[in-house]
Amino acid sequence: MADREDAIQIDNISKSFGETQAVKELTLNIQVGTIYGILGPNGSGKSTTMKMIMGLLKPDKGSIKVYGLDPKVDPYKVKKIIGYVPESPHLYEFLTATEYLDFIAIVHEVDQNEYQFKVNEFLEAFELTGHENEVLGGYSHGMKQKIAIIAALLAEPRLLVLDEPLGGLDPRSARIMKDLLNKLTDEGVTVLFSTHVLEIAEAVCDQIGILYKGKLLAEGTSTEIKGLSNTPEGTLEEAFLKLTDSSDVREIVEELAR
Amino acid sequence: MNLEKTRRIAEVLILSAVRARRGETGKPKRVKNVLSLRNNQVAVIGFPVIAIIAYLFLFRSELSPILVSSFLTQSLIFIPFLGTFLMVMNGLLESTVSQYSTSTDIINWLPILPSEFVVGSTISNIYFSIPFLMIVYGATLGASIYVHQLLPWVVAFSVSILALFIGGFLVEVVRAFLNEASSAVSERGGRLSQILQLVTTLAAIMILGLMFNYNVILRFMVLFGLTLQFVWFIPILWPSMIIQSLLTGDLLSSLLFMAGSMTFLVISFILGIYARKKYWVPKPITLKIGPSTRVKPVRAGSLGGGVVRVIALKDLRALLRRRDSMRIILVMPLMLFALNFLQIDASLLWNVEASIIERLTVFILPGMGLYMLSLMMCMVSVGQEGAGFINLQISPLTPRQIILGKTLAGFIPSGVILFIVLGVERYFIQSPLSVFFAIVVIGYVAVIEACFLGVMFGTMYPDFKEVPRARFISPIGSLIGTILSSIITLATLSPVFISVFIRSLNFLSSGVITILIGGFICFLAFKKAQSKFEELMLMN
Repeated sequence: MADREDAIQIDNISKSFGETQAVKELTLNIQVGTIYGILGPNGSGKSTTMKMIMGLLKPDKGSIKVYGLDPKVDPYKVKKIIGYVPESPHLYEFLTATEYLDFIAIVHEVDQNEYQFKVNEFLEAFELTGHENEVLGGYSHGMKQKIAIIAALLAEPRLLVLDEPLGGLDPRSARIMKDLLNKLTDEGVTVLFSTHVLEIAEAVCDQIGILYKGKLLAEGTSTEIKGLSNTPEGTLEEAFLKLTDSSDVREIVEELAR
Repeated sequence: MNLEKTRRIAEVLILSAVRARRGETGKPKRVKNVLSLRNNQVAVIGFPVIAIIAYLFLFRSELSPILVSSFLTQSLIFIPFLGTFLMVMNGLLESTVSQYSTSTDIINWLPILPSEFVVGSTISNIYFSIPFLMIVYGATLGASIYVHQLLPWVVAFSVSILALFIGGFLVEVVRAFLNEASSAVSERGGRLSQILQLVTTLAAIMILGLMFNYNVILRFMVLFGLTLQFVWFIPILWPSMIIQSLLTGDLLSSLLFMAGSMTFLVISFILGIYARKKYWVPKPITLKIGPSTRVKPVRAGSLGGGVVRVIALKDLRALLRRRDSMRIILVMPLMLFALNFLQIDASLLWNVEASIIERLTVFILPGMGLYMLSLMMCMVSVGQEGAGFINLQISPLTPRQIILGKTLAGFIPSGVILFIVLGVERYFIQSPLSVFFAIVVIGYVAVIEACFLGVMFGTMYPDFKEVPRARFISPIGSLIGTILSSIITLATLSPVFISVFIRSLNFLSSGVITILIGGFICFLAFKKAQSKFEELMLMN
């Protein structure tokens, strides 16, 4: 039964790059239809974990299952059910938005009639109508991010893996994105996303996991995380700083200001 | 203008380009001083060596000093013009350098004066002309010593430095206006701007190729010297006029042209500064291309169906829209053509007196060019994905589909051109059907094999870096790929060649054998590319 309820099962995975151990014995289960936020300072292993889920990196040890599929064994099938937005939106700069989205749709075998309707709807929602025939190289960072998000949503994925998806988005688009994520999870889509903006994590995520130096330090709802860090009345930011050994922020600022 | 700041700008521009060429990542080799830069070292050692070699060659050859002197005179007059021309070509051909790294956007927010940038950029431009100039200066110095005309050489050398700076400053003006014009044309022109881009790139490569064709250069140099006096009003030629007047003993004209050249240098500098100041913040290029041909999603067939087509279409679009990829792909076939085009006797096409085989030799050079086109297109097809490669990594695509898509993209242009070439053969030569069958086999087997081998080498040696300079395939991969592919294809086609020259086989059986060997080679190349691509799909 557990297999059916968990969209992602990560069992004791580790990953090293040379001397650097990016992920250490990480175990994590994410249930279907939840929004799971991975928080952690730079270099804590968030992106590495996401890439291992995508099948882009092979873990040195441990196993991963995405809807029962092993990305190491069958990356093709895993990619078919995942929509992924990488940390930096590296799109094909010499294609227009329409051409790029056509490419993605064909690769994911999206139904042509449904696709046209969906693309128009997304372009309009993210205020990109009128720019669809411009090459992506001329787009701003935020506009590229929106196209990457549309591309990830096009194929109606069962799992959305979003690495810092809201960076570069204007407030209106960020709000649309947040509401959309809630709507998608109501329909059974699972969302895994990383962010540095703790207010967003608090507002959007059903579950939060805090990664630090490749290890899972704490996991639970934001209230549970605050409880774990002995800051039940404080903010998630205070809990995060305490858990990640960063409570010396005030002293550092005072030192720098001197 | 702060000279130290200017020197630093030049150093940064040189270093970023040098390190990109070396492909250095991580901790690069330290550059202690300007003499430790490779081009300068090459010049310090190479210049005297070439001068000595040139002198010894002339001394041993016992060529008539009058003949050498006459040739030297033409060369010395030509040198200053060559300097200006080289600078302009160098500046305009920097198309493989990413727009990001050459853009003033990188430094235009720093307290740098436009004049400091113009001089710094000119010096960096001169730096990359050093190896070529070293050969020209060294060879003419050797000849000057041989005919005891050292003074004209010293003057020509000094004037050519002046001409280099004139060229460098003019490049800055042209670059600034080109960027502006390119943005404006791209915004309004859409596909027209792509065509303009294609035509200018082709023209630039052809001119560069012609510069290395000694037949063309010699004819041009003589013509240049003879006609110079009739075009004295063109300022870009004034540095050459200084030398010509001096060599004909007209000192007054020489001084006048010197004053004119100095004034032109100052004006170019002011114009360079003006253009940089005016377009200090480059306008972002927004290429608007109207609704495109849509590829309808279809269910993937055994070869990937629509997926293969859409990958090929994407690659072809990237090729047409990227100046850097177009240049890397076309430079080899066009250089091959430019270097040899005077050797082609096109009249053989009409000459019914000549034998069929003689008449068919007209197609050898275009055929080689076509082969290189297919090979280069496919060799760069993997690396040209650049940072966008992640789009393939995260998509549900198999290596098989990607390889077939890339091979198809390489085959389409060459296949179409080959079809036209075969049409030309039918129209003009009308060789017997058995010979025509052999030609068709040679053409299509070579092109298809080049595509598969190209993708294989592109997969084995990809270079995904785009900043500061895109290469798409590592230099070693490009070298090995070109040499090995040419040898393999020659071996594949050998049954047909044997049937032509030895006549121990008939065309039909040799053609069939060639098709079988070609098919086998393509299969092996595909399998190798497939296994390498499986590794590339992972980020490990």
